[in-house]
Amino acid sequence: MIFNSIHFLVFFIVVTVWFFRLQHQRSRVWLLLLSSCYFYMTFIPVYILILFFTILVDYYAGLFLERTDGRTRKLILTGSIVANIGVLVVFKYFNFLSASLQPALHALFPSVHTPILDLLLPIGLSFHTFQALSYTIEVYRRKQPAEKDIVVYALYVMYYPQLVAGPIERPQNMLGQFHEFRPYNWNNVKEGLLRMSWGFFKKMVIADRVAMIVDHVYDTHQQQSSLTLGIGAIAYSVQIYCDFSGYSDIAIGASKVMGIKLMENFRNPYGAQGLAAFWKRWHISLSSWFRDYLYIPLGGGRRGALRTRLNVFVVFLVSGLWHGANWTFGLWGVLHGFFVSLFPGVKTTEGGMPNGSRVGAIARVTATFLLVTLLWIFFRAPTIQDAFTYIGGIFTLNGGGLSTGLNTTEFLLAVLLSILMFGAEARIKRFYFGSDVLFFVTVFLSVIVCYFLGVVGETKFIYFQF
Amino acid sequence: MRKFKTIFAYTVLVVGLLVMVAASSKSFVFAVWDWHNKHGGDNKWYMIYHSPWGDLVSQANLDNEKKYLERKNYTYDRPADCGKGNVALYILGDSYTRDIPDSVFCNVTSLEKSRVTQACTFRPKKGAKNVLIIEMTERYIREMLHVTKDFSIPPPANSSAAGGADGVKSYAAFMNRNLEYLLFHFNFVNPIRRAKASLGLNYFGRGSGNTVLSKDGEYLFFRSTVAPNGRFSSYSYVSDSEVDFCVKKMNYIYDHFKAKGFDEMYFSVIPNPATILQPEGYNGLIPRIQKSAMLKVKVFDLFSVFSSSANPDVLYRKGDTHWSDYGMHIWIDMVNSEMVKY
Repeated sequence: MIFNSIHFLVFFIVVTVWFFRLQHQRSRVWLLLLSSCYFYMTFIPVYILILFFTILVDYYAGLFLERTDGRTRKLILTGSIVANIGVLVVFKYFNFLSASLQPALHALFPSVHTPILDLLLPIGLSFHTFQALSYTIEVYRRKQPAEKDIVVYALYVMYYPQLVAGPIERPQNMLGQFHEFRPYNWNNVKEGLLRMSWGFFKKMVIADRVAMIVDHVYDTHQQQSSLTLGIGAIAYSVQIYCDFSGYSDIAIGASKVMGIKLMENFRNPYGAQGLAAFWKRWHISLSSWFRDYLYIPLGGGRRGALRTRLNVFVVFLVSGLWHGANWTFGLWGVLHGFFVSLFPGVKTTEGGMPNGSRVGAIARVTATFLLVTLLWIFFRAPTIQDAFTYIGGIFTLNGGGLSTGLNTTEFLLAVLLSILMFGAEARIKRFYFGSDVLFFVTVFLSVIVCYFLGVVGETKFIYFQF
Repeated sequence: MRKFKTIFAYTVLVVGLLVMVAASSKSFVFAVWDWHNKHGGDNKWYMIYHSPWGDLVSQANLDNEKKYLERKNYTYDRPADCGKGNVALYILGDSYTRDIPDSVFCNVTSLEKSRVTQACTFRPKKGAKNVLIIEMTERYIREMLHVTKDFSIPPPANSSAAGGADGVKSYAAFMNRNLEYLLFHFNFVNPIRRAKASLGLNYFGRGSGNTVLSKDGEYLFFRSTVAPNGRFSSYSYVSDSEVDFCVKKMNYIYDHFKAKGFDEMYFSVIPNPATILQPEGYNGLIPRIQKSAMLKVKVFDLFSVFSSSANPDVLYRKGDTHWSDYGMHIWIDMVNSEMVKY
């Protein structure tokens, strides 16, 4: 079930109302777990067995990690990592690796064909695998006690608001919240619903409208002018931000209604002054995951400049491939790694304000946005060749008109709404309505705007595929 | 107040659960749909489902919907001299052939129909000439040939991504369609729907939801059949290898049914309305398949007849994805011209 559907709205209302009717935390945990199972099974029911498998492995790994010492602990951790990554490799990367090896093998042994598995990719596999891994690693590092209650642990992995596209949570943030009974709080409900409304607005009104421009331009990029290709590239920057941060807003809001706090996943990323700063503001839960569980164990910045750059490079390559089993994602990650290690970023003061002039700051923000936009082309294009053709089309400065796939009115509306959204984004998350009347009016207006200006359909979130 | 809140909460909970359960039941939703069709109407609070008048009309929510309404009225008078042979005819098809009256085929003593999406249970009859027709609409043919397992043929290696995405989407679509139908299919909601559709049409120049207007404004099309990409579209790019794959799969299916004892088998691909009525930019999927030198199965070439028609405007219904009564006649005549040979 996707968030922008009637199915989800009915599901959300039922689960939330039921949640607050239950007077014991144990019953609430069971309700959330069973509803999360239903939520997941609306995609491909049988794949819940994969989740059950990894939940069992990691739950017992956690218990044993707590009780043991020395080499045994390393073995248990390795076993847990192998089980989780193994599932990821089989379902997500096997066919990619197999197809990538095929040309080399074919050259050596013409009659040999690498096998291709007829498997569907479980929705959100990369997200819940990483969340499960963070649990066993934290227990191994003794920063988190093992969870004794398997129902609570299962809920940690399967909690429906963040099950399929994050935020990728840490056990320290979630497990405690699942043990604690939270009474009904009207302020949480208001805050959560407003956050959800904002997420729906970003997804339905902006992302899905801008997606029409993006799809049109990418599908016909070989015939388009440089201006159109440039607009298409910027449109994708807007689309992917509104799509993914919109999803995060809905997830955070849906959870907040029940009093459960999820971590923030975005912090005005297109306002960053440098690529390194961008990654501290974009998909924060994933960036911090890679920082804590890959970059620092590799040595981080402690082993000299060259090694630091190499570590950054490796992290971004893995991060690219985490997004999808395709060399386009790999190259996207490598390029980010290259630019981040080359230009580590602007030094900021303690308050977070950059040193230097305002003009300089604007120039850096613009340059970063344009670079990120250019790199998104590798992320969106179906093949590397398409990406280079697209970029070539921008820089050959082909003349010709603007063809966006939308009429002028709707195109201008999309531009206006995007500007308004970016302008309001930072403030709206902190907005609080003391007045109930104002709250109800705002939610009502959001529904009206989302219905009348929203692109209503079953458009999936981009990050669901990962 | 507290008591009121509790009653309200339990009411929402019970109604919500009932709606979820009801929407997951195909037979329940169909029963509601059937009841609406018998008892609904413009003067009732529940809407009549417009399918008999055009399956895209109720999705388009246009103020001038009457322009697109045409009552479904499929009839066919079988020629008197069309033989009394001993053909057992089997049609594995979709809603196009489902609507055809049963007694229209020449030389046919028994007729069995089944959905192409369901497992095929046809068994050739002893002593009869067993003829099988597999009918698919153009918008589904690539999908069906890629992912279907109904012909006991292993799916191709590259089927998982496409099949998976669509399989997932189809369940989500099923639940959303049913919930929308149960919760919002009322006449009093129409002004809101129409306001949205008018906004889309008058200011953004596009149709509502899954429906789009033809360029001349005379027909409603499924959005996916005119999209620039996607397997359902008449205008999306189709590679030569994709065409070859379709041909090979059709040959494979042909061999499969011949081996099962069928005497003859035909394929028939019904063109999307957009293919015929708005041919500029057509990807040529049907003619490319049908002209392939590799193809060994016989086809009923409706595309050639439709695309060369002097009056293509009468081949399809205006507010529907299906052929008109006239379009259906052409297809039946085509089938009968083969049946009389047996």
